[in-house]
Amino acid sequence: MIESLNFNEDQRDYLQEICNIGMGQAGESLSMLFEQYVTLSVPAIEIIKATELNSVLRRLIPAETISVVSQGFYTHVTNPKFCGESLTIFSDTSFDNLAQLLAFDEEMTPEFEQEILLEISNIINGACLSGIAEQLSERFFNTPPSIIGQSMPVDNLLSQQKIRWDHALSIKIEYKVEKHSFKCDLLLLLPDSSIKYLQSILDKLLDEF
Amino acid sequence: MTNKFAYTHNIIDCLDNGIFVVDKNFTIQLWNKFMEVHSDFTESEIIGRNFFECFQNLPQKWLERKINSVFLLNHESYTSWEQRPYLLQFSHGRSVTGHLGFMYQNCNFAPICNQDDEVEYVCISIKDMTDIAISTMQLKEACAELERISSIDGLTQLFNRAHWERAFANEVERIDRYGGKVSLIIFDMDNFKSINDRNGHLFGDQVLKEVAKRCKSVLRSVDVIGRYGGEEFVVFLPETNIQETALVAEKLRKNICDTPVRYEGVALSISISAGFTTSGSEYNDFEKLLHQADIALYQAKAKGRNQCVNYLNLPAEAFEK
Repeated sequence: MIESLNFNEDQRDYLQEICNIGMGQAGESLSMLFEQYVTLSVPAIEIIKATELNSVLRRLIPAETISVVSQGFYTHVTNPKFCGESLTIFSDTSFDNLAQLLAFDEEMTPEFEQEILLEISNIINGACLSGIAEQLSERFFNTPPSIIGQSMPVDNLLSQQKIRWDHALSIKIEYKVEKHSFKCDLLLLLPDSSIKYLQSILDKLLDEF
Repeated sequence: MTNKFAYTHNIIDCLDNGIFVVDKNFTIQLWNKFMEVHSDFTESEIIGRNFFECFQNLPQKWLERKINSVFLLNHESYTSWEQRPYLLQFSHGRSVTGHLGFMYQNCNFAPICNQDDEVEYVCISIKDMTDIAISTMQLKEACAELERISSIDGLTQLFNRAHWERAFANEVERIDRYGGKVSLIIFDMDNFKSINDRNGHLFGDQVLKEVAKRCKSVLRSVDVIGRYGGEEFVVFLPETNIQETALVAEKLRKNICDTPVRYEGVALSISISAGFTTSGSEYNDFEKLLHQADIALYQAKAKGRNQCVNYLNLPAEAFEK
């Protein structure tokens, strides 16, 4: 691992704290939106090497097949551009449960299933990212969500894509909505350049402390 | 700066996108020219009215929740034509050449915040995606057709060798991983060369087509048949034991040789020789199974043709071949 990408203890603690608070807010807004209690796990943060991504994913997501929605996010005017990608990962998805969550009452078709995946991902992402952005005093902009795979083996997730970074910061959060027994994972991935920028923001915030 | 501001409304009207704004009660606050042109409402008619009262055929519950999520999360929301063709049913510019009854739309729901950074309005923009939708759908159709063509043998309309082998290899891999059984039949037309020589290649082609048709009438929908080479055919039968496979092979043979093939006034009796085998309890390999069935087929030919041979019943010396 490149030396400069190591987080010192202060940075790590502060980032964890920011994520925890952000997730608390996200949980609140999701509970309000879905009108039921949403539980979020404590975010698990780690730096992963691009080359080890698949084995890390297998460890983080112990499921045979998954469906994945990707959504890019970036800040407005920073140099270098702060950007990242969030992956919402659904394993053993019950679409009927998800449909209830979104108040869909149309008949289920493959297109609806896709729309549900996109919609849930976008909502979860929005809640999560705005929670974190607020803590970082930033505002994130998003690209529309897109499905990068449906019911595919975990190994296939990134094999087709050319990976253009060496390391990524991964923040893994688990969501649970008990009443509709729905569960998914959110992986926020930041490439090298954005990790450095994040560290500089953390340092700035730590100084103000 | 003030100048620019004064023209904002004109600019919004110039956009080739539908733009409208609703507040928390879904009361319409803004309605641009694009929306006027495509809906039945002018700006002055619709401003101040409830969106759902104006458009009653919308999936209201879903849309309310979607717009509410933007108010609540201060985060954009989207719909895409690929999943939901349109939000509002508008007609589109290619009414003559487009073959489509309506405008495909991508929509974006964006939060509009007040000075305190609270979401006060949601701005909905509608983008006409009809042209892209038409070409994407044509592309998809073309790809599906290409995929079909690349897996089919043109003459017999059975799977071609490459496709059949892939399917068979997958099946063998599946049973090796998850357990189960698969059986295999290989058969070959008897004396096909002399049919071609005596009756011509067109007659030979007719024979192959007829054989494919007769096989399909015997096989179950789960059995997968392919044309393996010139006059050689292969069938794999998922979850079928050797006794059942023997019955199927015999039925195929009988069905093919019972009725002569007729073409341009000539009727010709035909027959096949077949070899068959089945997967073992472990270490299966599709090439090994093909090899076994091939040995059995060879024996069927050697014993005088027009018969089926079970690889498992062969004496040990036959394996030397």
